[in-house]
Amino acid sequence: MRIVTQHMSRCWRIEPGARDAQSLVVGIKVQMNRDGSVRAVKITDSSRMAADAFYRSAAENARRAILSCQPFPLPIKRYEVWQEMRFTFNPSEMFGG
Amino acid sequence: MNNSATSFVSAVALVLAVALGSGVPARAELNVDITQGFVEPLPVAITDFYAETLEESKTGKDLAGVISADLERSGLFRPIDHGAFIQDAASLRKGPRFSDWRLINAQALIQGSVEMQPDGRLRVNFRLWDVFAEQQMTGLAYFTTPSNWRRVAHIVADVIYKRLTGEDGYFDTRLVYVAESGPQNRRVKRLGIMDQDGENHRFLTAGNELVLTPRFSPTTQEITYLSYIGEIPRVYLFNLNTGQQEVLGDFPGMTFAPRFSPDGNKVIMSLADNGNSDIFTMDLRTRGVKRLTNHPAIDTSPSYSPDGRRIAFNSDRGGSQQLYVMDSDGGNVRRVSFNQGRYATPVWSPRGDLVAFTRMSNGEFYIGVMRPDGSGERMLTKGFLVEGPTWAPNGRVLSYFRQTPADSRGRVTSKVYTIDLTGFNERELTTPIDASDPAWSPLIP
Amino acid sequence: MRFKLLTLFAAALLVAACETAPEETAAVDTSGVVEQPAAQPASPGGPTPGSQEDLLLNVGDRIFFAFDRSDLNADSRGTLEKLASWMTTYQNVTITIEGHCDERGTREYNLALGERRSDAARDYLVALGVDGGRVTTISYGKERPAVLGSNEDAWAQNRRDVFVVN
Repeated sequence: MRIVTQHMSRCWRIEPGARDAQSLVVGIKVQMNRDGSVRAVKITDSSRMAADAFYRSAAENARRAILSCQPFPLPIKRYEVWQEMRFTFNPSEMFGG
Repeated sequence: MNNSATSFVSAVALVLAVALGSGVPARAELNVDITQGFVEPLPVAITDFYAETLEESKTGKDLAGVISADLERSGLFRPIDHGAFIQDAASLRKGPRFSDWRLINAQALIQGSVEMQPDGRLRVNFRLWDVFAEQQMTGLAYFTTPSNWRRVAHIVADVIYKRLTGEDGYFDTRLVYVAESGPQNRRVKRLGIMDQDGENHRFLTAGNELVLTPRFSPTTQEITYLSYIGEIPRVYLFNLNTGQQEVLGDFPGMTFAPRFSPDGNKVIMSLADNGNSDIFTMDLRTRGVKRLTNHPAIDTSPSYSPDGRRIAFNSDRGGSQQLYVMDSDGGNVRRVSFNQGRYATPVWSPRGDLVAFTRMSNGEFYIGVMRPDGSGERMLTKGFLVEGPTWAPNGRVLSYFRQTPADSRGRVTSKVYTIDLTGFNERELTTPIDASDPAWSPLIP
Repeated sequence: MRFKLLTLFAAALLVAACETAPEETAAVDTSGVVEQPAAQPASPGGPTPGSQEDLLLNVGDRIFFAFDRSDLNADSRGTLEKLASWMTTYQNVTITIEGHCDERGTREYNLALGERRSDAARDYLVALGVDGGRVTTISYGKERPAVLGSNEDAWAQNRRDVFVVN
């Protein structure tokens, strides 16, 4: 399953100068089709989406990363494992130096 | 001082979490932690704003051009070449074909229209689309006099910047600076002002007297600066609406290094008395003067924190030029710069989280930032002479000037630059002649 | 923790800095190109007594400083002593002392440093009995170098006070 994270690393664009960027951890629920395309995608913290412009920007950016990364090169015989995924985008390690 | 797009490498955790409901069959949800990504400008498609007439079309093209240039110069966006566009302007009016825009890897799409109203005003509207989510992110309309189109473009660029980054924009701003000409020993210096992109340039003073260190008021159309009118160096106010200049106070010695307080009600500055420079404030309404430092060392370059409660300043009280922070009443002075070299020109970020400064070490000058307690020090750029950082109102971008060493004929050049807080995206800001001492305005009210 | 270590390190650096010479040499070399007009050749009668030319010829119109310093060295004190006696001779003369700096500092700090330099000379003149009311000071910071160039020679000549007869 490392393949998912490697695949996503080519699609997730970081904005390192954003205010408190390291605290902008975004959770996204994804439902997948068998062909590796995305059937549905949902940002989990909708209340923070509405209240925090920085979070909204980071969350929408993460959502675009998922959508622009499809199809995911995933093994069809293990579809039951990856048909529902919960992505956590956490940039903190990229700011630790 | 990273200059290229960087790919971060870090450990990746992958956990298979199993949610166990009581009596309910276990349902698996794959948890994936994404901790690695890349830093690169966001590709955006900015189409020429649609119009019916030839004249309006020109404005539509100009609007898109200014918006595109603003976003590009920020370093956070990469406008896609129009030649790559698949969907044409006419069909775009009926709605974006997102697949066409995805094909050219546009992450966001900006479209707009321009229409002259019967009352002579220009109606400009725009929409910002998320190409992958296939959603409109924002859309607004503006009515303005046709000659004001450039400002509308900056305002639209600010809205787009804010919507895509979460950060306030800074495109509808200006810079005041010192325009320079002539040889170093007879340098002519004038106040100049221009839009943040270098347009609408004009000179504010004629160059008959030496002028230095202009700074914008946060609340009014005024600048405070140092002028040698009558060969007496003193702090002045310049009213941008009337062009009037007014000396600030009547002191026996030189007044210099002025800066407004965040509420715009005071100017904080240095006053030299018998050779010694200390820091004072002047209330602009009562003209009351208050001393904040009383020390035989040089105390200068004061800058308020955005909440007005603290002041960063420059002093050589410890033996060499260093940065200090004190409370706004002058108490609780502590040194905050501790690295090698001399430090100068502290400027508090509008966000409050950082202080920018000039550092001199081993024959080089640096522009850097640190937290107000001195921790987290980071250099953004360096050179033979880089000096005088000033913050864009969103606290994300800095401007400063860079002077070259004299050539064999004794000539120097001095130019104003901008740089992102991350140290990426250093750009020259084109001015008609040499330039120094930039100061960024707040967002234009 | 890291911050504490840094503080200690900085303190060590400070001590070291006190014990070593300034970063830049204070040696005065006059080989640079002085852009000020040279002394006029003496007219048959010599310069007008009490004039700028007289001061330049018989006293010297400037003194120099070490990098980031405003204290007077023996040469400077000698020049100021001559200036004091010259001003005693020409009781009607008032002068302005201009304080200047080299380009290797920041603008505002250099304005303060130039002020300190001009005042150091004024203080010495007053101590020698010159009426303080006859001596005004002005700082130009790094704005008016005497010598063009970005090298040690030029900088040494630009760190100066200049005496101007009003």
